[in-house]
Amino acid sequence: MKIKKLAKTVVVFGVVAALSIGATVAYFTGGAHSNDNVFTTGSLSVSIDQVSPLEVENVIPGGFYQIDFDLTNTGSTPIFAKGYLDGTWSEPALSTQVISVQSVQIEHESSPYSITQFGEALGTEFLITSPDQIGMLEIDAGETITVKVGVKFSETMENEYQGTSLSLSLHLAAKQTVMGSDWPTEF
Amino acid sequence: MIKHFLIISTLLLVFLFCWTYQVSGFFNFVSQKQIASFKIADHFSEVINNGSFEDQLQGWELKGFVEIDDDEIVIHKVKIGSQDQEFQQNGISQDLSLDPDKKYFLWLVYKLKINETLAGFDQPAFMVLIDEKPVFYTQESTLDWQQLLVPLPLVETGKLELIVQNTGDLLITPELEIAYISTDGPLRTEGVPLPNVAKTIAQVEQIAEIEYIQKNPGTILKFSTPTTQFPVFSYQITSDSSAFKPKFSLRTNLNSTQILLPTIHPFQELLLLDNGLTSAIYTFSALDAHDQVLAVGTLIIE
Repeated sequence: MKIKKLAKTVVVFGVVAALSIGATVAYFTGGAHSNDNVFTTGSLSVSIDQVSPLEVENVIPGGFYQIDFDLTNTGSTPIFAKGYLDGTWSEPALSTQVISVQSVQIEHESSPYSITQFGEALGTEFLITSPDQIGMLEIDAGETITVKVGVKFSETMENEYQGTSLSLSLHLAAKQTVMGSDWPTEF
Repeated sequence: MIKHFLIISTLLLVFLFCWTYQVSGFFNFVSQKQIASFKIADHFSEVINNGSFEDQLQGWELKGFVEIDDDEIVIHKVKIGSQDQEFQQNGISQDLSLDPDKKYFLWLVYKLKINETLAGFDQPAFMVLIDEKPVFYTQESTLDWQQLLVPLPLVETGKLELIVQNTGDLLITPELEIAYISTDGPLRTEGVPLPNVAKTIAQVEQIAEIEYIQKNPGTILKFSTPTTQFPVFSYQITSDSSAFKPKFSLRTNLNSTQILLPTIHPFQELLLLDNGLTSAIYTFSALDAHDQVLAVGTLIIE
């Protein structure tokens, strides 16, 4: 009888443990990856909008360009966001070190403010912080912020870059603002 | 037993709910999107002969006072204009052969000294011309070397001229030093003893003309701005009246100071945005000798 009772208890604990693990997994890995403009899962959704992607021809060494886009929290919960730029040359052997992010500016209710240091390399993450830059900017549901990224091509670009093309992509990560939420490990 | 069954069933339902609807306060999301594409200019080939002056002045036509000055040992440089030599114009020139179907850019490294105190009267200046048409013009003295980028017009052949002048008296002549002239790309600063090569001022093709209000017949103001984040405003004022000598002023929302440009010029440029600024509103006005407004214009950069 004791063995039977013990077995029942073990089974119950086992099932509870399994369910707890399952629920936890569901709890912490709710995420999505999308290669298009909008990603939506659960109650969190963010869109990246441009009138049209910036297309520049006849880029010259030393050239400086600004890329504008809007981030809209189309979900139902406030979010924090961060991102980085990634570049791909038409000739894979070419280095992206000749491009630097000169500035990232945010327009959100108040005057535009800068959130990055001068001259960061591609791949460097920028946190979308509040205007005082002490904390993160909370982007409410339905709210849109404008992001203006300035990129510069180095004066030291050599001739092998002539005639080649560069595609710049924005990698964006967002998380909910509630305590305990965490950034994705990769984005 | 029933109690255990209810507990298990409840947990199972919670699990299924979480799994299906992902009800959680801990979502995080990622996205990736292409936001820009750039095509690098495909023709930086060199069309300047002896643009680094390693062969002294070979390949250049000279005007006025011009001499090689190699005081800085490694860098060869040419000095154009001298306080001790009275010439109205000093300069160097060279005929270029270009492919009219390709876009060329000219990189210049220069240093300019103007001591003229009556700048508005004597118009001391440094200018770069292609077939007598100015593509760059400045009256600003520079303490350090400046690296300048100038887009060249689409021409098959053209005479490149670098001129320093004083159109008034000859008492004070601007002095220009040139260390580098090239269509093959900027001067790489690494290992080059130019301690303060300035940032490249990116001038690209002009794409837009802002509106202007013409109030005075015979007065034409043209404003234009290129598409770049170092936008350089260029303007041209012409007049069919020799008596017309307007002043040109500039006011911006970035500060309350009005900049009164000293005099009329055939071509002038102003760097409008710098230091990370990305937007500005400039108001321009041209005044006659009695400070009557002849024309105004507004330029918005966003």
